Amino acid sequence: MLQTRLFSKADVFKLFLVSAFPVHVWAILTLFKWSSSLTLSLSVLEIVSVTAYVLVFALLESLVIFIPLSLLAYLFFSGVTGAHPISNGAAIILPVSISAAAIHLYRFLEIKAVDFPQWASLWAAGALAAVAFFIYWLRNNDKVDRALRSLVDRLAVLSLIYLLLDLISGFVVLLRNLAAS
Amino acid sequence: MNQINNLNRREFLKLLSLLTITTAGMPLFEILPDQPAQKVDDGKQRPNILLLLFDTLSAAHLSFFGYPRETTPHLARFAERAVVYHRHYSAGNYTVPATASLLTGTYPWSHRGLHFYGTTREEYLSRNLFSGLGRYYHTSAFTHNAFVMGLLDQFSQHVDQIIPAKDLAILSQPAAEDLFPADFSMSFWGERIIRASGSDWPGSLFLSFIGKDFDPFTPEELRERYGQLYPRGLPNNTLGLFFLLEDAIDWIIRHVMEQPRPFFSYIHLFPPHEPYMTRRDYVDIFNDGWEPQPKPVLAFPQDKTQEDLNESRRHYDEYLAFVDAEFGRLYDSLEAAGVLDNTILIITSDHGQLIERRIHGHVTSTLYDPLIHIPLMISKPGQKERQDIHEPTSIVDLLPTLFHIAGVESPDWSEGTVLPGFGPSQADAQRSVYVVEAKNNPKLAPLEKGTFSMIKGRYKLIRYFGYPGKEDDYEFYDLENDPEERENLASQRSRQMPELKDELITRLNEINREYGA
Repeated sequence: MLQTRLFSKADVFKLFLVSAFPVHVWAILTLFKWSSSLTLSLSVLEIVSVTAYVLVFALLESLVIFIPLSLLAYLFFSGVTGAHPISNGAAIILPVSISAAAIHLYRFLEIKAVDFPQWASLWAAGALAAVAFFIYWLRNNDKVDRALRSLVDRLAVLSLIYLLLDLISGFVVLLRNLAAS
Repeated sequence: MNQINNLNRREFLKLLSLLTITTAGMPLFEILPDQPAQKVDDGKQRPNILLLLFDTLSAAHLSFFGYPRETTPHLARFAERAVVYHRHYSAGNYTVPATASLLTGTYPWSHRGLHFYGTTREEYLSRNLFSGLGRYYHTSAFTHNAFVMGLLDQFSQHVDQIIPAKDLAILSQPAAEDLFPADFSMSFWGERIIRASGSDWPGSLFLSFIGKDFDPFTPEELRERYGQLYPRGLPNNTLGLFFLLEDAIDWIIRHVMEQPRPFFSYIHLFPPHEPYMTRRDYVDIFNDGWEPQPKPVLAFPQDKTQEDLNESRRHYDEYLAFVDAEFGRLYDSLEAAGVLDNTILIITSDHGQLIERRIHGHVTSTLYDPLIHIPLMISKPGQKERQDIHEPTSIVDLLPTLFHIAGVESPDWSEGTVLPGFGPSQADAQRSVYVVEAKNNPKLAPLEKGTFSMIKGRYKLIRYFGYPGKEDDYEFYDLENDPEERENLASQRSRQMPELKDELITRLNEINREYGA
């Protein structure tokens, strides 16, 4: 019973998809930002190859992020909130991702009003506060739990597409390196 | 046959998908290099060739070309036993187009390595210095410059040994070279996007926060460890590779001794490229108060003041003096070991540096002489006398010259000619040489925005086209009377300018027709 509740394969996979979503959205956004430079400099096949390396790294990063996220979602927050681990996972990863993205955007947006350590501390504190708020909300409201799970179901569809792209990318990277070595 | 008939729908779909993926992957497979070719021994004696390139070495700053500061006494010493090309021009104003021109013997409009991370067209994978010389020579290459590494990676099927930059580095942050040595250029591109720097955001949302923690040294530790010797900071390639030039020079001495004969070694050192991290004993040696006369600001000024430029110039000159001293150490070692008796030593650069007209750097849309006029000195085996060549020559000439020396068939695809002093014919004083700045155009498309320069005889034409406010603009100089390009003659009714203009435009139209313009 415990195993079914905590370690359902489908739930674990969905939690992985939750981890993969922000990592891939950010990687793809970054690729779009570089697109003019890529299309100017490289042929179509070279662009495919560069994209493949970026997406393979995104897959790796998703796996790395998935481990602490699942630990937090399952082992800690389930006991605290009583909510589904997937909701816990989403409640952690979404504000943390937004915060990380905001920290990265600092230099790009040329924000001069505050220096970088202040800016990063501000967003890190904001992320922690948002996670705490979500956890509190989850603990007291089933609707939030259901809403988060519903959101995750939708994001998971996109993440599956990203994973498919990752697999193709992995094949491209493998092919280029095996053939050249 | 029965087995095929027995395939169920699921197995059939699996096979189909495998076939699709493999077919889609074939073009990627085809552009990858093969193994190095076997050497041909035709019984001919061939001299070794050591091509030593210092990145961003402007001829305008060399004391033996008339620069007021004593920046290069050791290069001057070497010049006394070499063929010295006084009007040698690069084909581009930054690394990739210029180096690709050197390695392929073609102008950027042909090889199409037009961009920072650019690569050449595929046909040049078998049309380059390594492919020609590699038939007879043991070929090797080293560079601190990651952009050059991308080109070497492209040509690697003809290079017997590419020495990884990290082997001579104190700290090498990029991981592409370690993880994907067989596919450096594409993996490096990918890593650049993932890591990013400066005003770019990294493509890695989370791991980029901790990536730097895996480096063996932090920048602070590097400063602490090397700050005494390098008070301005440790030499680096601006992309995370920190190194000592002294290590590279020591390595070259060993490398040359250990190479199988005959060898061709292409060594592309990063200094004196920015950042100008000179060693302690060269810091402030040119704190002499000398200031060059400001030049007219006609195109693409940056926000540099004359004070900024004077400071940058001093730092560049001091770094150059340090580089020169290290070259002197190499030269003495090679001479003492007798290497120069059977080796052609070539000293050159990929492009220069502009520290005037409110501009500092080389990634600019201008093509003034300090940016494109580079040194070229070649000592023949056992040469004792100096030979001076004053006719214009180009970086694209090195490939046909080295092929000629090595007895390799003259390539009909090269746009260069055998350099005076090596070929059977006399120097052509009226020959046109070109410089191309076209980074704003797609790799394989007509060139519709850029800066071209053409040097013919004593004259130099610069054409800016496709820029807002400079749709079709010209500068014209008489380099004999005005070597510092102070007086733009474009508005005067010069008899020669229309001739050069027609020739340049005709050439551009021919090139663009190849791409359907």
